[in-house]
Parts: sequence; C-alpha cells; structure tokens
Amino acid sequence: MSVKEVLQTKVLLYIMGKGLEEVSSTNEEFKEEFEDLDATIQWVIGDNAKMYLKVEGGKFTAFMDAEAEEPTVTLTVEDYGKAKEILTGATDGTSAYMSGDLKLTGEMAVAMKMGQVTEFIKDALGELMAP
Amino acid sequence: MAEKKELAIKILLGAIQYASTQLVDLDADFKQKLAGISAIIQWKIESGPNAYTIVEDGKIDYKMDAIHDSPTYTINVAMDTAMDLLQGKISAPEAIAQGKIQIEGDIEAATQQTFILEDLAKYLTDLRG
Repeated sequence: MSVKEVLQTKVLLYIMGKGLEEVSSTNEEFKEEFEDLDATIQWVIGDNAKMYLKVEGGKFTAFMDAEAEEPTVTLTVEDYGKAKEILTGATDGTSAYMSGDLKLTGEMAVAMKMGQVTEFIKDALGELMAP
Repeated sequence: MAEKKELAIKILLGAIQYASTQLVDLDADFKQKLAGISAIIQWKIESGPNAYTIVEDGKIDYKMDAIHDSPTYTINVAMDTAMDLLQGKISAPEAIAQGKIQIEGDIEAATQQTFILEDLAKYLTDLRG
C-alpha cells in the first residue's frame, strides 16, 4: 500500500460520491430512473479509504471518510489496485464480484443498482472520466 | 456538452481540494512544506465554479462554491486551462509563465505555493489508469 494508491482511491471515491450528489439533484433522467431508491451504500477499500452514500428518493448524499451505522449494502475491496480498476470502470462490478475482488454484504439488489448508477455517472462526467 | 464540462470541472476542483486535505495526513514531506504558511487561495474559474483553499498551521481546508472576502491571492483561470491544470497536464509554473493563469493579490506567495498543485500532480496524474 503506497501513499499514491491510498490517495487515488480516496479521490476516486470522492469523484463518484460528489458526482452522484450533483447528478442526482440536477439530471431529470437520473431522478426518474432512481426515484424509488432508498438505501445506504457503504464502500470500504483497504484500511484507509471509506465513504458512504445515503440515498433518499434517488437523491444521493456522499459522506467521505465515514462509516454508516446500518448500511443497506457494504461493498468491500481489499486491494487498492483492484479498487482503482472498479472505480474507473476498467473492471465492471459484476466481474469483480465473480472473481472475489469485490465482496458484498447486505442487499444484493441495491448493489446491482449501483452498477447502473456508475454507468450514469461516467457518462455525466464525460471528459473527467475519459482516459 | 458545456454542462458536462462544467460539472466535470466542479467535481475535479472539489476532488483536488479534498486530495490536498488528505495528502497532509499521508505525506509527511508535504505537511512539512506547509509549516508556517497561512494563506487563503481563491479559485475563480471562468464560467465555472468558485472555491477557496485555507492553508493554516500545516493543515488544509476548503469551501466549495464560495468566495472569500480577503484571499491572499486569487487564481483566475479559464475552464479548459483549469481542467488541464487540475489533471496535471500543465504545471502551475508553466501555466503562469504562459499567461494562462492570472494571479491577483500576493503573487510571491502564489509562486512559492505552486508546490501544492505540483505535489498533488505527482500522485494523481495517472488517476484514471
């Protein structure tokens, strides 16, 4: 674990979390697609990077460097390199789950929704997420 | 397209601010360089978001979508240059030398503190893989 790996992971979590805050409050298509979603989604990466997303009626709020008391689903990735692949979209969440790199506890259906959400955010952030 | 770019630059500006607060805890050399610096750095991105960075007592904090009453210096930058700068495609000294960044206020402090962006760039240039 290097400083670079930890910092990059934290920044990627920030981009996802704050990107979702913005998109879920401004994008009508997003609002319509996820208006029924109420959940708390916890990300835990290695020992140093964590963030949770509180979703109420499809509106996302990100809490950086924080742990939710009762997450609906927890997504855990031990390896920072694998986490980077997942957060940048180089590896999709389903493949990461099947290979054991991404571990889930809680409601699988909510985790699956996150896959759709991630695609949305990549499109919305355009140039920022382009390689 | 312009909306996408505006959203991207807002998220990126916030990400860089957040990264600087985290790097203080992760990199002792970076923290050491901040010792003795007291500054308010205002970011004004043309047709884009504002934010300011607070450097004090070896720590960094920030406020998004905010304009400070009396910043130490203000970084005025166009959206495309801001994107290049925050993604590490151009260094702060290069951007200043090329006139792509206009600094208002304490230019000497601004010049001395370009290390903040340069140190972040060392860690974040290949962020997307």
